[in-house]
Amino acid sequence: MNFLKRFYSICEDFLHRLYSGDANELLEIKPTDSLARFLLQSSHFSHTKFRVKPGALLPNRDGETSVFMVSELDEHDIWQIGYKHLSEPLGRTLYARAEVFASLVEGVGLQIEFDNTPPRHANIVGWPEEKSEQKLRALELASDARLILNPEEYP
Amino acid sequence: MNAFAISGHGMPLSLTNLGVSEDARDLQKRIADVLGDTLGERHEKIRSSLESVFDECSIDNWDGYDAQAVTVDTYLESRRFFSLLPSTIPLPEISAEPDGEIAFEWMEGRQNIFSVSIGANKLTYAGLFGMNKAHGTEYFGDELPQAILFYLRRLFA
Repeated sequence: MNFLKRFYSICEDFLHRLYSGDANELLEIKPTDSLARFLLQSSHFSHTKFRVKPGALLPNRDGETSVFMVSELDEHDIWQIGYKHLSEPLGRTLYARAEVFASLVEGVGLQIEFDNTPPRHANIVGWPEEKSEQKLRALELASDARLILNPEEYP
Repeated sequence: MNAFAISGHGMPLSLTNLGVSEDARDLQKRIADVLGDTLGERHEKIRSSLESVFDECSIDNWDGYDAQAVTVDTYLESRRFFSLLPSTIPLPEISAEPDGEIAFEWMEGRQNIFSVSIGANKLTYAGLFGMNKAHGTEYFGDELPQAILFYLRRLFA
C-alpha cells in the first residue's frame, strides 16, 4: 500500500512539473535537473573545442547567473525559451546553450533560487565576493558543463 | 661553416651570429624574417580576437544578462598584457566577462585550465590543475607578475 502511495505521489509530482505553466506555481529543482544558460556571445564558448568558457557562467552585477530549468523539455521547446526571453527581445543571435546539472551547482558551493518568472527561470546565487573565487567556481562549472550548439546557427 | 645560437627569453628573441660569411649573414636574415613573421602572426591573431571581442562587448548588456561594457582602457590593457607574455606560451582564447573585464584563457585538458582577467592595474586569475586549484589577484604594473608566469609554466609543464 505504501508503495502505491509513493508511486502515486511520484506520478502526481511528475505530471505537475511537466504541465505546470502557472507563474504562481513554484516548482522544486532537483539535483538531477538540467539548468540551461543561453549564450548570446560567441566568445563564451568554443565550437571547435566544444566547450563552455567560464565567463559564460559568471554572475552579473547583482550577483546572479540567470538560468532556466529545462528538464523534461524537448530541444524545440528549450530553444524557444531562449528565443522568446533573450534572443528576440534583444535582437541578438542565440548561438548555443550551456547546461549543468543542479547537483553540480551545489557541488561547487553555490545555490539555486527558483523564481519561475518567467516560467522555469532560476538564478544561481551565493557567489563569493572576491572575483578570483568567482572565477574558480565558474571554471569548475564550465569544465563539467555541456555545450549544445544551436542547430539554426551551426547546421 | 655557419654556426648560430638562437636563444629566446620572451620578447624579443635574440640571435647570436657566430659566422661572418655572406652566407651566414643571409641565413641570419632569413631566420629573423621567419621568426618575425611567426611573431607577427601571433600578434595579429590576438589583436584580431581582442578587436572582435571589444566590438561585440563595448555596449552594456552585451550578453543579455546585464553585463557591463568593455571599455577602451580594458582593451588597451589587454593588448599590453599580451605583449608581455613569453612568445613560447601558446595563444590564449579571449572572451569578455560580465563585469567588463577581458579574460585570457589557456587549456590543456578539461581539468587543466588557467584564466586571467584584465582589469585596471589588476590581474585576477584562477586555475584548475588536475585536483589542484589556485586563484588570486596581482597588481599589473610594468611587468608580468611572477605568479602569472608561474601558473602558465605549471599548466604547460
